[in-house]
Amino acid sequence: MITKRSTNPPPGSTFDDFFRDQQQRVLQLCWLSTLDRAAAADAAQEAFARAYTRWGTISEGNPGAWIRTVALNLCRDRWRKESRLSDRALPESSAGDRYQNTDLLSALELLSGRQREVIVLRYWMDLKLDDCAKAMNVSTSSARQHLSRAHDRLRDLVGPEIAKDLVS
Amino acid sequence: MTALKEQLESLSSQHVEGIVLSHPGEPHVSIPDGPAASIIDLSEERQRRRGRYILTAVAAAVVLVGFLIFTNSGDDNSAPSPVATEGGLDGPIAGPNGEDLGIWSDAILALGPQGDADRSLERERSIVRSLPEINKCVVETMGSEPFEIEWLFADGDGTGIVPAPIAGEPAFAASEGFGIAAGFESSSAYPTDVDTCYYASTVEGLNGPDAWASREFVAATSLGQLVSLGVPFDPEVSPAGPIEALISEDPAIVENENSWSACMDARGFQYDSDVQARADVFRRYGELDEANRSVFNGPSFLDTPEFAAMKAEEIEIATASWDCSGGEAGAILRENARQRALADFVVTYREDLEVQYGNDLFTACQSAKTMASDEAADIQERGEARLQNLGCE
Repeated sequence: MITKRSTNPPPGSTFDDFFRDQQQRVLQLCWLSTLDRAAAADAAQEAFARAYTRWGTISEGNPGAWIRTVALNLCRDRWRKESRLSDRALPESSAGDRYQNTDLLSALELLSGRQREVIVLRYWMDLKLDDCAKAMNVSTSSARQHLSRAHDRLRDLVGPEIAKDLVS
Repeated sequence: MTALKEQLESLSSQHVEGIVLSHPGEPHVSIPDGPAASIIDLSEERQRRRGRYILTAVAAAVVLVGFLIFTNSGDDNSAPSPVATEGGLDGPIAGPNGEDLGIWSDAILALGPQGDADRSLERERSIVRSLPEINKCVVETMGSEPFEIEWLFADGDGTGIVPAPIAGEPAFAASEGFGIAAGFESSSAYPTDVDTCYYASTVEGLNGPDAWASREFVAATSLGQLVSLGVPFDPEVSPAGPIEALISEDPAIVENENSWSACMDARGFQYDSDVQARADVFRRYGELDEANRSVFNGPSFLDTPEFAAMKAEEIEIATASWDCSGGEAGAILRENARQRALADFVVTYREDLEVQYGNDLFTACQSAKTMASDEAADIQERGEARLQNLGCE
């Protein structure tokens, strides 16, 4: 028999706060990981659904780290399935000169999924390398390897203003 | 805040603007503190993306036909799926004592360590073999005009359909679970060269060397959707741990590995098993990487002669491994042993699996089936039209 998702409120009463506090950040993380708006929304929604059903357990630990890892796993799956060679599905309203960071976006597109993940975790979320590795579900040495290659790649692609930040 | 962080923040907040997630406990109630715009219509957005794909309908048709062959399309959803045996497709996937595995019979076709998930490439090779004329046309078309490979959702691994790899080439190494070099090389933009594309995507898409390190488990439905089970390969913490042991203990595998090892030895490679061979290749790449890294973020080792030599040796090992394991027959033997072990595993751990992953699998299977029924007719129609245009009937 397949386990059904419970419709009852999870134990404790702080999931609402967690959801409210984290939804924007998880959405952004998913978008940065996939560069795909639909995949990001899809993965973030599923990550929160899983958090909801397991809230009684994960709320005793570090739910922020938990949902980060789960969201990245889901993003990776969706990115593999749907976006490998597709365009990056900018929102309809993005036409014109609204976006100022086209260079960085182009550079991010040229990174592998893992490289993008580690850049986002390290420089956007300010995680230590060990924590990046945990979120990525890889060893620290592997995360370091991805980061090193991402550095190499990005330095060739972005301007000096950003390149100077690629320091660790 | 650094310039990089600022730009990442700016980019991401702009691109998720307007998306409102549903509260899982109250799916129809908007979140008061969330952005004001409405929830985006994901299905519409996907449709739009799909519409922009340059669809290689020939590849789609190949996938579809392969799809039908390997999923026994048209069967009732609850019917057991076929499993490959020495004679081809026969017999349902069932437990060791004939137990009905239900929804797991869909998943079991490709349940295994992620590092081995590219075993499904054997399935792709079979598809290619089963449709030589279409494949020939695909190859000719690719060679004669600009051709963009469609990364089909339907093929599960995001690999697209390409010609069967030829022994001695990088793509062949990748199809044999090697191709580890690609994990180091594929940081550039997606390649358009067919071989490189296949080689890189096979490994990179499966996380490259990480797959060996994390041993993340992935289940794939017979309709091609991958479901990450996301558990490390560790018998102490994962119910999936015993799979590897079950496979290695299978008498057919033991016999095959013994002869494989002797054969490899005769060709100059001393390994007890192909798993050990891949692990050794991966380890040696790692050592080369470390040895050539004078400082952190130092120059890449990809340009060194040692890397080129290692890559050549990797292909040699992969080719020897294929030969020594009996080629196609050996692959089928291993696949059957693997299916037996997986069936046994599901029976033993079914309760744990359903508690942990049942929902994911259920969702994946249902969604794959819906997708298949919605898109199969469309793909077939466009595929047939494309084949006619190409004169490939």
